Amino acid sequence: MTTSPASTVTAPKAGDTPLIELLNVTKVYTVRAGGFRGQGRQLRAVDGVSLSVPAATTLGLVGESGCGKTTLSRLLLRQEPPTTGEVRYAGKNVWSMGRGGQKDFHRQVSAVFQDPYSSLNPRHRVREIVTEPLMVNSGMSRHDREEKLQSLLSDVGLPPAAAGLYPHEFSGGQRQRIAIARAIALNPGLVVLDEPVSALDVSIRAQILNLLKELQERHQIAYVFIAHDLAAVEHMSDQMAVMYLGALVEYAPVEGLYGNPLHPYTKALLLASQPPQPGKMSLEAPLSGEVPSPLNLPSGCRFRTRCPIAEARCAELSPQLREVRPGHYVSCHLVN
Amino acid sequence: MPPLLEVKNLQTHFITRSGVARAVDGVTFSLERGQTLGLVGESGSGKSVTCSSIVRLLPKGSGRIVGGEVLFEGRNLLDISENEMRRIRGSQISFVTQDPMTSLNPVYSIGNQMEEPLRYHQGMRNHGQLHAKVVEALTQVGIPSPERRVKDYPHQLSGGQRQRVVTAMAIECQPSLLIADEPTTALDVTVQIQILRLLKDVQKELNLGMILVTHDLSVIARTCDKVAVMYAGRIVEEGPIDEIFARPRHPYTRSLMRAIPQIGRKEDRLYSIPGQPPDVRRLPQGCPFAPRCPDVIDRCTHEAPTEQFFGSNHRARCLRAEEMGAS
Ligand SMILES: Nc1ncnc2c1ncn2[C@@H]1O[C@H](COP(=O)(O)OP(=O)(O)OP(=O)(O)O)[C@@H](O)[C@H]1O
Ligand SMILES: Nc1ncnc2c1ncn2[C@@H]1O[C@H](COP(=O)(O)OP(=O)(O)OP(=O)(O)O)[C@@H](O)[C@H]1O
Ligand SMILES: [Mg+2]
Ligand SMILES: [Mg+2]
Repeated sequence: MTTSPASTVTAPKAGDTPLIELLNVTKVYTVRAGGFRGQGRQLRAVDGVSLSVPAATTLGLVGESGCGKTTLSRLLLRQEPPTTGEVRYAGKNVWSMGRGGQKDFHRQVSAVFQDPYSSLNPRHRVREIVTEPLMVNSGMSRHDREEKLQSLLSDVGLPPAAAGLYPHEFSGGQRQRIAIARAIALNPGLVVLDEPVSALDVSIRAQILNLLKELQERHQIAYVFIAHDLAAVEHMSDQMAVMYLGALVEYAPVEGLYGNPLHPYTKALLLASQPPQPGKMSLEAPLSGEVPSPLNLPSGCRFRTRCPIAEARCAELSPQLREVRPGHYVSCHLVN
Repeated sequence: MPPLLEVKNLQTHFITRSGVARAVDGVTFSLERGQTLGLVGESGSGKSVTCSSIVRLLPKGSGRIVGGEVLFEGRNLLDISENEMRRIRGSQISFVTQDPMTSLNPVYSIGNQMEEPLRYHQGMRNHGQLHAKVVEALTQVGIPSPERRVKDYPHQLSGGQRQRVVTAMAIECQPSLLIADEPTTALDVTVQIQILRLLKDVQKELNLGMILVTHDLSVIARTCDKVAVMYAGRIVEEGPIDEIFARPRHPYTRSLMRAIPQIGRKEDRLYSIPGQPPDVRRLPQGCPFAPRCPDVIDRCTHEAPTEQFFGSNHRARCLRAEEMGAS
């Protein structure tokens, strides 16, 4: 794809420098330890993650509950500063942008979160919720806003009458559509989708995923798509990142990751994600052992306490993420 | 002995400015001790409202149970006092809400909140004992470093951790009926299986009856004995799981199965049921699924389907249910 000369547009075209990048980013939270005056303990929610998302592409992000996916999305959204490392949007560090740059950033980057209940203002009608970004960030007339509202509502499969209702009048799934309508209102360059379809039935899930893809093609939006449904992630993504306890353990183009998973954690995830078949699915834990605490990481490889193929050296040396095939990165001593 | 739970023709309506929403419109099912019922269906079809009606925890304001019975061990829960109901909730019946944040108080630590039902329902007072109980419950649901995490506030936990805390609270008091509304949506498959395993273990131990609401048909396949499929406030099909998976009789169930995403199925567009979900304020005459149904015939648009039975425990609300099983 050819690159058009950059005018004032901040979002680069596909093929250019990555739209958003994390460079060796770590986020540490301090949590209270036992007792009133107990010392704070350091919880490494995200630990040395580097990744990049080119414009108009999707990065799928999967990993165990509590492994740091939502923390990572907050870092991408500039809602929290990294403890160390850098977050860059269109080549610029998002924490050293001026006022104007920040405003642009917030117009260019939006999000849909895991929880449709707390993310929508209960006192506002759908009309206000969806058009608020338009009012704040665009010079649209009332009439144009109303038109845009109606087209957004029909895009996400809500009836026109929904505009006058309050969030509590909708079911969980319907509320998530409202959140998606709001997130795409300003035609953003990047939308961070933190489990956007977990609350929806499979049919509406498919509808929303189709819609997200259409919008991506039409408006060249990049997505960071966090989900637990591996079939949905496969369908949506160009690149995939697999996280375990705060770190990336595998990072690859989607075909490579599903066709030839290399990390034992990725393999376990894929193995456990079979289509439903009554009577043929066990409740045997796909991984043995307890999930280690991010407050107290194991020595060496962080996955070794649950790894079916761990060896002595895995307890000693922490594996680095390395490229074992073109574009396919894995952090495991035992993969050649 | 009466069944553990019998719901008969339950009707719950919401009075809104734009009309009466028949969120639950004549739901009937029963559940035995030790049995697991999966409740699936379209977003907005009334699964959560059915659950909250059973425990009488409808969202404050406009929601009202306008008809039917909820017989728990033979006793109609819709007739008893609020005080009695409160005693039953959290001791005999536990309810895990769809959104864990509605069951967690943001200003109290996790440990504090988990001790509450033990104090209130089990009269446990000893500090050390309470602490030990809570830590054990958190360990069971796979929260790492539980002795430290008890001090945390809900916002310091990840989405899936909060969901597991709420599940842990629900089984603490050893109920005889557990209603869990989407208990595993925020969990990856490995943790999900761990939680389902725990629920099944607790079920065995207590001879617990369970209702699991979920969009994930793998969860149903792994854990349930029977499934009820909801559409527009009604159960449109119910039966044993292998029957429902192998020979779904209702076109909605069949479409739902078709929409299950599968790894390795490279398609440009995912299959979804055409059309929009019905507005329960303005239900059409005839079958509510008719406008979207691939198998619709003329009669469907004006004749409301009644339930048809196939064997003793498989039923479907479709005029063509008989033919559907044949194909
Ligand atoms: N504000 C905070 N203070 C302290 N710890 C936190 C805070 N936010 C998150 N954590 C911890 O950081 C870790 C990562 O949490 P995060 O929410 O990013 O996980 P996640 O991958 O999104 O999980 P899930 O799939 O369950 O949503 C968890 O152990 C969590 O308890
Ligand atoms: N407080 C309320 N006021 C008005 N209508 C409501 C209210 N709560 C629910 N409803 C309506 O009741 C219907 C059933 O909602 P319910 O939450 O039970 O759906 P659900 O099957 O649980 O959906 P989901 O899978 O999305 O959670 C919906 O059409 C919804 O709009
Ligand atoms: Mg999360
Ligand atoms: Mg619900």
